[in-house]
Amino acid sequence: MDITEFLQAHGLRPSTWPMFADPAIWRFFGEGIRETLLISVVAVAVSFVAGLLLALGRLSTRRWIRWPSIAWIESIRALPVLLLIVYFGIKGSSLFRPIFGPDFDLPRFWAGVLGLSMYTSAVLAEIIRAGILSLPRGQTEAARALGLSHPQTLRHVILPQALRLMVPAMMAQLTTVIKDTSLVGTIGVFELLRQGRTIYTQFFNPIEVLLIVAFIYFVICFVLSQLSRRLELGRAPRLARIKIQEVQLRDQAA
Amino acid sequence: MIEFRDVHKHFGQLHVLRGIDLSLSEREVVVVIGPSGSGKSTMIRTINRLEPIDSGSLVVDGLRVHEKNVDVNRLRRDVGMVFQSFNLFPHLTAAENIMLAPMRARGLSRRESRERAERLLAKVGIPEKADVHPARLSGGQQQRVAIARALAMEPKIMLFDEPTSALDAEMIREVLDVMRQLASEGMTMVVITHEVGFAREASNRVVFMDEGRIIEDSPTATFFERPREERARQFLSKVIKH
Repeated sequence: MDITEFLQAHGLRPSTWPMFADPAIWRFFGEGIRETLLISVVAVAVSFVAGLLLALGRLSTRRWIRWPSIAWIESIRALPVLLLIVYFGIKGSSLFRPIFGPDFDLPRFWAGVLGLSMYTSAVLAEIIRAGILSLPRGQTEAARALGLSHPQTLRHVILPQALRLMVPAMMAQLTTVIKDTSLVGTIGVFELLRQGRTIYTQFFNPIEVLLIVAFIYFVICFVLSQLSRRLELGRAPRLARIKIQEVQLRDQAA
Repeated sequence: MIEFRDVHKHFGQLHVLRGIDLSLSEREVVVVIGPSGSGKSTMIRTINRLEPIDSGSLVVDGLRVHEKNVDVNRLRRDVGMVFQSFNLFPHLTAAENIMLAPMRARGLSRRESRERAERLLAKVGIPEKADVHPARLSGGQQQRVAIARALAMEPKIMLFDEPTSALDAEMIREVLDVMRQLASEGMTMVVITHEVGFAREASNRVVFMDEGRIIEDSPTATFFERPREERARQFLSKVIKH
């Protein structure tokens, strides 16, 4: 048995390999990478704002703000991301028609962003809350004792410290989101994995293509996780870091 | 200036303040001593409403502190507080720590606040530390920044909750020196401390607390020469031996 037969026996198709020398194929992958990164960044930005509000809501002393926030966070976190994405993919347009008029059509890109953001904001809310709670009580007390109001204390004392503590946790969340963008392919967004599928359904070489796609995901996420390790700076007190990690682990287990 | 009348406070089942009566006039310096768990800290924290009270009345600078419609933030601007654990804001430099409240709560400009911060840092003896973050300051320096931070609001009253308990012996002095100077300038002060030397030199009165009550309230000289209460006497003999 020669080498070609051996590879074919294992599902590989050496006869298609010359196509990987064609720049057009790489441009095609490139478009997927761009879409994947774009969706991730937009989704994380949206999730950060929404997550911050949800975290503050959950920490509010007012019951009519706190309880709905808790209910929202806990129920969203209990749903599969894919379900949310599919929901917005199917129902997104009609959901926004009361606001944007009867002809409104929600672009698939934004349906994907909404699905991802809805879930991610609930997770970020918990990370932000853990960051805020990990600060010593004395910080709030000192600020309040100086006559700063509650919002001023949050804005100038608590959040600047809490957000700095959370940088590593949020970078980790970004890598999760990048991987989850692969789900957005199901509603017709041409992200990286979806581009790969388009290629291998034409050339019948899924193993080669998936290996390449896997390698691209790996490089992106590995670079990010290395970056986040650099960013830890040893600045966050150990205890605070551990508390935030607990939330993440709980989230991954859920 | 400060008037407690039959003030009670519970933490759940625990009755931590059991009928506090205490009054302070302007420019008076009162030292509060007593064993841990006697309610000293809780008592001082009710003055700026960091702790709510359950019953009784507490008037500070003409304000009924624990009434519902009191503007707490206004009250707190006039009552400075220094904590055992400093509680400086670690993400801000010494000067920024001092400038924050004057800028945000008093509406001073950045320049005015900066000038004030520099003046106060000079007053507490560390003008060269303005642009240093708290992590690079010694405990004594941190506590002096914390005092400057409280003074920046130009308070009428200063509260000190065991300001030297977290400090090494050699740093205690530099903090007490600043407090002594404040007392001599006529600041109204309530100080929880076991520093007998400071109490003797700088205070007008000593209040001894135990189990949520004020057991003795005497002029400083009287308290140290012939304490009326047996419990105060025992406590004093223990503290002074150290």
